[in-house]
Amino acid sequence: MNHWLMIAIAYLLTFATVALEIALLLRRRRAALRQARASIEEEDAAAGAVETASAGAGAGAAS
Amino acid sequence: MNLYRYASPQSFYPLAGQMLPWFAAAAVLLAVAGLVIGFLVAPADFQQGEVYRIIFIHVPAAWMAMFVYLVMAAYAVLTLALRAKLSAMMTLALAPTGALMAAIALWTGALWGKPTWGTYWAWDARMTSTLILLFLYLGYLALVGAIEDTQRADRAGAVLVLVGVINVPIIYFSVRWWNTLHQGASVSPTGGSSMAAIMLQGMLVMTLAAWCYCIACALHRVRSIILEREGQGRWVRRLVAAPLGAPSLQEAGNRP
Repeated sequence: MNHWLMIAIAYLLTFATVALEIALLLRRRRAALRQARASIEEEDAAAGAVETASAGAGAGAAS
Repeated sequence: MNLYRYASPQSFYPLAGQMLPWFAAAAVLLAVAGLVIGFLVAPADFQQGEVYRIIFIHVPAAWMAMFVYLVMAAYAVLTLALRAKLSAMMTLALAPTGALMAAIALWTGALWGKPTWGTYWAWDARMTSTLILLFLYLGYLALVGAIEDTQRADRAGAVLVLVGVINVPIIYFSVRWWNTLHQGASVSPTGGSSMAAIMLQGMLVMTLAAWCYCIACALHRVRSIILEREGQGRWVRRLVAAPLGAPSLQEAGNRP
């Protein structure tokens, strides 16, 4: 059994999984930021719609 | 300095962001130093030859797999006793890295075992209990992921972590309690070390690197978990509204 082959497999497999974990961490972070931004935009859009509707209702009542 | 302040996700988020690059940089530098010692400075072992160099990842990974689980258990106690949100988030953030450490310990052990013992795997106490540790990590992640209500998921996960913590002393003392294929401890807090000094130094430097890596990963992951769970908070709104990398990203969590 070639010792250096075993060492190479052990280290390469370890570094590959560490790289994979880091990639998944970065992907999750980007997804979390995107999700937070999307929910804020949704809230803003909903608030804007309510404001427009109430302004419209106010204008209608005044006329 | 009031440390209780950092028990809130809002306060911990920027602190984690500040600590993260330091731990990440330390992990890289220590890993490079440890690999230089392990491959260029330390000589071959007189019995095992070159293959012993796998210990520079095998032992740190095995130690971290146990230590991360103990830290998770401490956070699980805080989750159940104080219902602290951040504790549950930290438990969840640590689990994938702990699982990775357990997996690394298992496969590097198998690759070391073949040339030295003649087999990749044996159902001996040390190996089996480490495999159970990996299953505990995966079981915890599956359980928390399967329950939609995060508070219920956190409590159920904390109970599982606390039940499983009994496995950690079994792993550690297995080589003393049972007659195992796995060798006894080469390093112990009370009995010193039976290893050559340079080999021990390389292993300890790699252990520090693994420690810093686990902390950096947990800090990075907990920031994502905080964003995922606290996404409706006003402080998150200020944070996300700021451009990425801007100073306000770090400071936003400190503002009331």
